[in-house]
Amino acid sequence: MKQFKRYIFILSLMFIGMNACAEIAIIVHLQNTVKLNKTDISQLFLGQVSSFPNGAIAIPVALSRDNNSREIFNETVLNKTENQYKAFWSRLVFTGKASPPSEFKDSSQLRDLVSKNPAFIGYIDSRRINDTVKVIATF
Amino acid sequence: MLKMKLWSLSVIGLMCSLLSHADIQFSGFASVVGGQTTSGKGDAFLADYSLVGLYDDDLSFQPETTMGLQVIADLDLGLSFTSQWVSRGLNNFESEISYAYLSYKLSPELTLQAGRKRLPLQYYSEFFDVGFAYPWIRPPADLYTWQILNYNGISLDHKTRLGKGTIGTSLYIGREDSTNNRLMSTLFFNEETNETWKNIIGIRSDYSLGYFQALISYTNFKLDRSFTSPDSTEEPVSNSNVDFFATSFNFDNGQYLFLSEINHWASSRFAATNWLLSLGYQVNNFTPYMAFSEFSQEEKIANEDLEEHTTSSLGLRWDFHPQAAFKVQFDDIQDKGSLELVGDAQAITFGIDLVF
Repeated sequence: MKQFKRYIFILSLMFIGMNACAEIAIIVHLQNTVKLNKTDISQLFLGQVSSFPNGAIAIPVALSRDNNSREIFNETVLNKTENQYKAFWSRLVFTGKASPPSEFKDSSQLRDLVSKNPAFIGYIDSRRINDTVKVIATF
Repeated sequence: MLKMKLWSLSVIGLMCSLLSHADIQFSGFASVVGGQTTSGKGDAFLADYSLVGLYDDDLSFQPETTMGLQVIADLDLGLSFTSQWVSRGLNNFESEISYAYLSYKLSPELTLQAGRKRLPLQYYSEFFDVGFAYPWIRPPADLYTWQILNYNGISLDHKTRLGKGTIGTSLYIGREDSTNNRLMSTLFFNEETNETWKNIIGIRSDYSLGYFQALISYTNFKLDRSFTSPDSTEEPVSNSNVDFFATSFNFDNGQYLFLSEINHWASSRFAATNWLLSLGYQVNNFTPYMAFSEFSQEEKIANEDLEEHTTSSLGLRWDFHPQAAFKVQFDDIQDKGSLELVGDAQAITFGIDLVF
């Protein structure tokens, strides 16, 4: 009985843990064969380069602020808080160097967009993945 | 002024004719800043050299309050047109064009831009007006003292991967004519002074690697200076060669912030070396910071020191909203030069910066 209670306790901890840090998936078009590490992804989402390492045009797309996955992505992959992200981008936007990723309220809308064009790269909550897109990394 | 109006009209005209075929994006920024000197009656704090933004011992919101609106017309296939209007307390909020340029993407790595832009002499030059983009109330005034801020011309921008990092390089050429230049006319010569920077040519490279970022830049131009009054006793300048070098090294890991710049400029008669060092610590939307900067200019022939001033700053940035920050900063200015500009002063400034 004591053993059983312990199992329940550990299981419930795991469950809470999983919910608290929901994973995000980096998604691209099914035919896109790129391999990207965290640095590559960060460089694309911060406008420092605008092509995949193979030279093809890359268009990053992001989720809007009322989406949890945005905060996880910005903090885990870009290492920036929302304000640091905005401050970073304002240096590029108001000097003509780059435009920030377009933002989507709805992650399924973002997923559909990525599924239709090999140039797009985006991130969504791992639980929202389906077979129309390819996952190249999770965080 | 007429020139400005013509510019505005042509920009609005171009915008309207593009409207039907273009995707239009609006964005903007604002900094509402107030401040005063705290060191005593009669003291003045020159917070903005270029436009002569001066605080005295009465609270004022005029010297540094700035608002900007940017419109980008994206015509697709790599072509876009951008215009940025900036209104300043110093100019009674009359708006002027800070940027107005065509941009054409030749490839994912290469972009050509032509029109009116901020002159990218130093790290903060191009986004000097966007307070939200940096921790301080303003980039340290000792280093950002140029009388010319813009140019009309062409730039070619390239960005690519280099090693594990990325490198962005810009080449630019152009010219700027400034009639009755604010800084020269009011602070240096006390009479209407006209400045022209011609044959401007420059190159700058930014290298980013993880938390590190480095910039080097070099600009060369020929300076003409004339005085409107026929009775002027000042000596005009013609075709004087000016070289300017700047380098910056920054570290930002989301928690610790290290910002630095050294620059040097030289003409046939004058030379100046200026530097800044700033440290910050970012925790829970609060960024306490400190900064030290120095401007030091000499006359080369007689080898005498002219203008020399330092600023020590302490401040706090509080990001109280995802798109806005409150800042408060204390500055201690020591004017040590034989050419005393405004004298020693202490000042407190505070404000809210936002972007949208």
